[in-house]
Amino acid sequence: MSQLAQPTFNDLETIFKSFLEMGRRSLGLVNGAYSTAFDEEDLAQNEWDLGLIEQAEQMEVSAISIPLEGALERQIVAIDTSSVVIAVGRGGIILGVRGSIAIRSALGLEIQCIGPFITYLTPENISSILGSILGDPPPLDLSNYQLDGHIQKILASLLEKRLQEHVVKRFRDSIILLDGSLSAGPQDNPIWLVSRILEEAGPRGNDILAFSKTSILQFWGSIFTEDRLDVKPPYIIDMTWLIKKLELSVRVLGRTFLARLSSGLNIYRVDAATCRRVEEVFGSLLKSDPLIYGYPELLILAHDYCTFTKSDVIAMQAMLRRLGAELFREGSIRDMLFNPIDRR
Amino acid sequence: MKILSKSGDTIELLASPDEEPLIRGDYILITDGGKSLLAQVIDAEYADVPGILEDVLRELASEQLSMRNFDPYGVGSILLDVKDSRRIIAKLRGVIVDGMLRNDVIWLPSRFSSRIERASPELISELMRTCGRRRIIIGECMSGVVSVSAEDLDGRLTIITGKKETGKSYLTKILITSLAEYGATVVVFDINGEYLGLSETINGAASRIADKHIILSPGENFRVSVEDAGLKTMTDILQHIFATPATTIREFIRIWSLVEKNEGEITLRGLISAVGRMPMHESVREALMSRLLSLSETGFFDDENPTEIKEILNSGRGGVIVIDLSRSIHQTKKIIVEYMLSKLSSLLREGAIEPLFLVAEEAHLYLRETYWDDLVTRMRHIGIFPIFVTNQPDSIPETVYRQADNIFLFNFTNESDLNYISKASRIDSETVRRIARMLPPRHCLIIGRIVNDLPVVVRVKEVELKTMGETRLLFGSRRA
Repeated sequence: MSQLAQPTFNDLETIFKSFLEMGRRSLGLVNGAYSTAFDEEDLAQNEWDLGLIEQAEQMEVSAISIPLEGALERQIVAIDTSSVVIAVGRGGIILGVRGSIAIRSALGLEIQCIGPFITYLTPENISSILGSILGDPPPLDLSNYQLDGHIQKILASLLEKRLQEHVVKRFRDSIILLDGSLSAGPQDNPIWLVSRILEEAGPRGNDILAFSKTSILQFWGSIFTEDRLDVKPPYIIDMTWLIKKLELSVRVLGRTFLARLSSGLNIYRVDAATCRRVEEVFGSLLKSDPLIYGYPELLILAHDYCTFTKSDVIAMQAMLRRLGAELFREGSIRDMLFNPIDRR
Repeated sequence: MKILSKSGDTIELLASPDEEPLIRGDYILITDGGKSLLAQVIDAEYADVPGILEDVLRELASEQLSMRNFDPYGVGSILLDVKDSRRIIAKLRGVIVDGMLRNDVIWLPSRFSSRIERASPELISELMRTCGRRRIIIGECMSGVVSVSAEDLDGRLTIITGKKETGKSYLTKILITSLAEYGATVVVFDINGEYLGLSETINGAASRIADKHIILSPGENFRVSVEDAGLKTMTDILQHIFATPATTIREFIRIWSLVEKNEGEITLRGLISAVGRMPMHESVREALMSRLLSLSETGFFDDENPTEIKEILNSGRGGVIVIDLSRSIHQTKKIIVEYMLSKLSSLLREGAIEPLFLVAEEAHLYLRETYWDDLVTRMRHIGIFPIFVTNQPDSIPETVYRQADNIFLFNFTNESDLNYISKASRIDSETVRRIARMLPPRHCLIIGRIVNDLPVVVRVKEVELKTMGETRLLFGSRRA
């Protein structure tokens, strides 16, 4: 395993300088917001068309076995981000976003927590805030971003992309694990930014694997069974041609696989952008990082350390109050409507 | 701090870890408008913060990892405060309305706008003050001096209890020397010789009660005549201490009458002589003779030069009269106590002496069972005011705790001891359990009339008197 340069926090301060300045300035605008109850449902996502399964059943596919013998141990780096609504005001919402980078190397395991960043998004400042994440000046026109239900996800996703860019530049010869896909096109995954991440990764010897836990592709695991494919885990199934055919609104950069890396029913969509043979990269991943239900442990750790807990939300609300923001407690609509029957 | 909840007489407060630390027994004042709620802190626990399990698990897992944090807003430090926030458990002691502490007022302060602060020692001192004028300074509480009134020990039943080496004797010495200074007479049954040095200070100088400190050593300067003891005391000694059968007691009473009639006075020698020559069943003679010879061997009975206990008690200046039981064998201790209680009772009934305080340390070792109820009821009414000192709380009958007017409670960790003490009727059991378990040495929880039923935790002041009765050590000083 190569000895690799570790990113410093000075880099992060430089990268997020503009975002921090904009965020701090925006918090000065908070006046009379309702603090929100912590609700993990906010983080759920599912944007896939269920009708795709029927088409997939007609496809011809074959599996690629992952060779473990001779696989090299490599440095693994996993990135994840999380966001939470801290309060909702008359003119906008206060969001918290946090990222984490988990690194497993010959030196051991290191977790870097980045954030939380706190920002008050209003229709007036949304483009400048989002732009400040991407750089100063922002590299594209952000005027079409709206303060709608997707903004929380967009903010987290943009931060994640910036962290991914930071990691692929700073690390070498590593397997970079991302949460989600390499689909580009929607507002939270600008094509130019995803392309830039992949372009920066290759020359530095970094291989990118993006694991998606919630993709509709996972259901195809029950169609492309081990018996049908005559293969035993660990194996991957190349689904790139299918994805390119089916996904009309987004562009997938890299190749898309279904990966069953351990015995059991767990199968994941994995988008790969590698400078080595993909089965070789998967082999190194299996050699270097334990799997939990067929999913890399390092990605779970990255997820765990960026996820907001209820105490995090309380602490951020307390910080806002210290900054002079006036927050009110809002009753839960769910409680008002359904208690005492529904005590979820 | 903010009010979290109230249930029954328990109030829970939420406090930040940065706040001034509270000590068990501290009083807090929750003020809202013109009224204040007085509550006593009995414990502190971690607050049940939402999601704390996830947070702690994350921290636990992080111990094996190298962690780096880029926290531009410093949320981490606030988060630590949130995670470490405390739940203060306090007991309501009343509502202060117009400066008066009242228990009958139902009132709750606002959870959000009330002001919560530590009560001042002056306020607590004022609220616990009774109407007595003779103050006894016993230590400090919440950085203020605590004094109690000697009048609140007068006519009362007092218990001083706690495990070994927690400071019971220190406090007892403070109380009895102060009582003596105010002119009271205190009789001490001293089984460990702890009260023999009261006339000297630790520097070797004469103490303030040096001229009021009398040590009575049985068999030496404390001997009594059989006649002075009287027939009842002697039959009680034979019955309860020597387990003499009833028929033999009857024979003893007959002999006593005959000796009194024939010789005009009762002496132990006269009784022994009479038992030897008068006709009676040989087994009775043998039983009586062996017991009377045992009494004679104690050296406590001297019919020629008896100590005049009445004169000692009637010196008129009060004082601490220590009956040194430390060198007497078990049976002799019981004989002496039997005599003393009987004698004191009769003198008080006759009005020959003034009421007095009786300090009985580890009384279960020498006090027969029938005397407990006697002490807390009949004897108290004639003017013997007991102060029981013990490190074995269950050695004192439960009924005594229920009737106790004042309890000075030092540390106990044993659950069964705490259960036993918590039966005291003047305080809730939760306060006893939570506070007594954690009391440091020389700290005690005072309960009862003496503190106007406002329990206070007091750090007992240093005693300047010469310490006696300390454990002799094989390896020298414990600190060495």
